[in-house]
Amino acid sequence: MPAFTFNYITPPPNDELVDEQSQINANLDQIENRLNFLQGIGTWANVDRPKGLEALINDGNQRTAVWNGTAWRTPTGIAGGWTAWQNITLIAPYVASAAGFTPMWRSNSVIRRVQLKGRIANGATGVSMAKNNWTNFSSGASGIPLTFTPANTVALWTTSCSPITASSPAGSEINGARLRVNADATSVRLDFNWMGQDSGTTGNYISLDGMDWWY
Amino acid sequence: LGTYTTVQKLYKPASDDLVDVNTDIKYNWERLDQRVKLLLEWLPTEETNLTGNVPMENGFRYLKRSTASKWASWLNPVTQQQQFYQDNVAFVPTWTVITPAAGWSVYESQTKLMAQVTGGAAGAENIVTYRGKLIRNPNTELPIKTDTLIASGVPTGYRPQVDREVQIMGGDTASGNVATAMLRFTSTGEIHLFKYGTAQTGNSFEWYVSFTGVMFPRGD
Repeated sequence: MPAFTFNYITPPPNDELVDEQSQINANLDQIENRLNFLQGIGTWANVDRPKGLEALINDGNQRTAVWNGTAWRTPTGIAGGWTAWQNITLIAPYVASAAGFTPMWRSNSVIRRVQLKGRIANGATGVSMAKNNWTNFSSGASGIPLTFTPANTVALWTTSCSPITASSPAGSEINGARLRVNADATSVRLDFNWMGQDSGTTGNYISLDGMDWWY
Repeated sequence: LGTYTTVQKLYKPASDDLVDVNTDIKYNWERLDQRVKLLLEWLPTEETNLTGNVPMENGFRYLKRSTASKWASWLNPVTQQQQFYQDNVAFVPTWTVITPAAGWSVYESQTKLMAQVTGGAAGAENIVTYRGKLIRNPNTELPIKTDTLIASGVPTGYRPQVDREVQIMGGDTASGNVATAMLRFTSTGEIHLFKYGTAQTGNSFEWYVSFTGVMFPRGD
């Protein structure tokens, strides 16, 4: 379908019986109407919109949209793809380090990403983390569903670990930890490996902030 | 005399017009040439600030090279001012420079401390990403086992709603060694550095804090 339905002046061009002026002006009016639509002040019948036309749609939010033949298609936002935050079910004795820092996860189906946040402590009394071995803190039927298994099945990441409250000055020392994301029979299995070896013992925790993976 | 179309101002000769080829017919093609490109294509421009520096009219579109972002003009119905906007979903987030605290500076001019937020308006679901590299002034080793303030006054949109802590690496004792370090981003707009390890021995190329790969969700 041509973009325009212009009048072609019927020959001979200087035939006094041909109304050239009105045909030319009708063409100019058609151009005017089409361009006005692109300026957000005119209308086109749906059948006149070529598939793939990109236009600026002022629906109150000023969107860039493409006509797919039957509807305007606007970009899919990444931000809107996130689920609500859900608690990570922790295996005893691990608990949230403090109110407001509950370990949680969420996923985004647009970018197929899982993201974690929160802080894990070893029991409500703040017992030191066990160092130098892998410790499972979430798995089993109540864990993150297998749907969210990392795209490469097994993943290993580094995560941060807390200031150690027993240090001097308090909270000024940190140590590293690693996070392993794996799949068990029923859910995504999360383990950490606390690399600590300093004198701090109580009150330390592992931060999950910034931890994420592709599923 | 003929008439002009309302918006595009194309000249429509009257039936008894003596048409001047130069002023009446060529004028129309030149007028269209100026406007159609801007209405159909994103016109690349080197202008950083578009307002006042490029033609503004409903539907005129520009690709801003400096930020690789697309902008279009529209008449704000409330203010009746012609403005530029981006699609708030498809837009390219711009980087905002974060000023280091006293005693800290950028490692080199290309490594300013900067932050960006996905998703447009500062929603709780957005992800904040940082980049850049800081050193102490004068060029000295990073403090170890100390809670050190390295920036404050971070703009609201780039702060978490509750404190976030992410791990990075920092220079350590011997050449090529690194030790664990942590950045704490507070809800009040401060950035703190905690670095593990022992005193360094003069490898100045390790005396910096890199924000590469640092990201966290904004919301609580």
